[in-house]
Amino acid sequence: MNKNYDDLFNKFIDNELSVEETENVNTLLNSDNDFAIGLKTHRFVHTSLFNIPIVQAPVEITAKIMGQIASSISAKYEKHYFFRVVLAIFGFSFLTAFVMFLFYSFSLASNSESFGLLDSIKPFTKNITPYISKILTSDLIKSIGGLVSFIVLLGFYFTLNEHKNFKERLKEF
Amino acid sequence: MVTNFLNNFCVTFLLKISLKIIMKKISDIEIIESVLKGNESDYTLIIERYKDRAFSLLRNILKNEMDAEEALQDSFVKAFRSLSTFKKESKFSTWFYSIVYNTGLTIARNKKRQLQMQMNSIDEVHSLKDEDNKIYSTSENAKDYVIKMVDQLPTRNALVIILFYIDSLSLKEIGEILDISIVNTKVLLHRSRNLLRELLIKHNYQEELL
Repeated sequence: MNKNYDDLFNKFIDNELSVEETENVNTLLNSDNDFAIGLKTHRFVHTSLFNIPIVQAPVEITAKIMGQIASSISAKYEKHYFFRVVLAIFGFSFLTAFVMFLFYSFSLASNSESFGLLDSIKPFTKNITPYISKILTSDLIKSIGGLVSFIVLLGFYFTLNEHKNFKERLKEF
Repeated sequence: MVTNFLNNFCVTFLLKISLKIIMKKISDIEIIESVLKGNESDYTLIIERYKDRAFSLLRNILKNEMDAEEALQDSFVKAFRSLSTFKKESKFSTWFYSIVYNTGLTIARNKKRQLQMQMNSIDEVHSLKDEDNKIYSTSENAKDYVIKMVDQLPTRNALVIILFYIDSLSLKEIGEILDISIVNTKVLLHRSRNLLRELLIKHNYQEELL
């Protein structure tokens, strides 16, 4: 069979024939038996393909998929819960330290007033305060403090960056 | 006992019918919006709607039911995880089938079936012609032969046919799923039709049609 008919057959099926091509098809149908057989077979292929059966997925697939999704959701919540607990502990510790510092500063500023519990710890704090201030003002401690702060900030930056990269990778996935 | 059985049967039957009615009425976008609002169980409707057609595609890519089942699960879980990235201007089916197609390809590559996957050119299709005698001998009629031969076509050709004839997707949508141009999609569709016609004529099926 002439290979050039392929294009005509497909255009006929897709309703893309021009007026000239339609006339050409009509002429060929009456004059060329091979063309007529080819076109009829091509149409048969086209109509048969609408009857391709859809293969049924396994019966319990929906339950399996929903099970996987449910476990991934619970894992996500567990992860968030852990993260929140850690954050809460840090936040609480920071707040406690801050409040204690405020109380202590306030008690030193107003020696005349009585604060009950603070009065009882005042002798102790008065004794150790010079030592603490001496340690804190030493150059070695300042250097160590600066280095530790730098390392913590660097670690925080890398953790944030890693988290950001992971989220991007997750999006790509 | 008989009453219980009848009761169960009626309840299941009614549930199935009501689920079908609900599925027909609710659009994909509405279901997705509901899932994104936190009603994760509504995703069942999406699974029920697409599982069979996605399974057909995957079976064709992987040529194996076990692998197709694994890929089907992966595809739905991946789609669920990326639902928030789905742009609602496009059709969900196009977006979902591209996930299915890529998951199928990844699994096929992992299973070292790359050679089968790369059978895309018409020259390689000639090897198919040598193997079709088996299918011819087991086919009841011309239509049965055509349908069976679709499974033997190179993967991309078969996928184009399934997506075009079964899922009624446009050439543009099919191109988006397979990541090829509309022209190439059309070429694959035409080549597949031509090949199937040639095979029918080779086996003198045209006499049955006249």
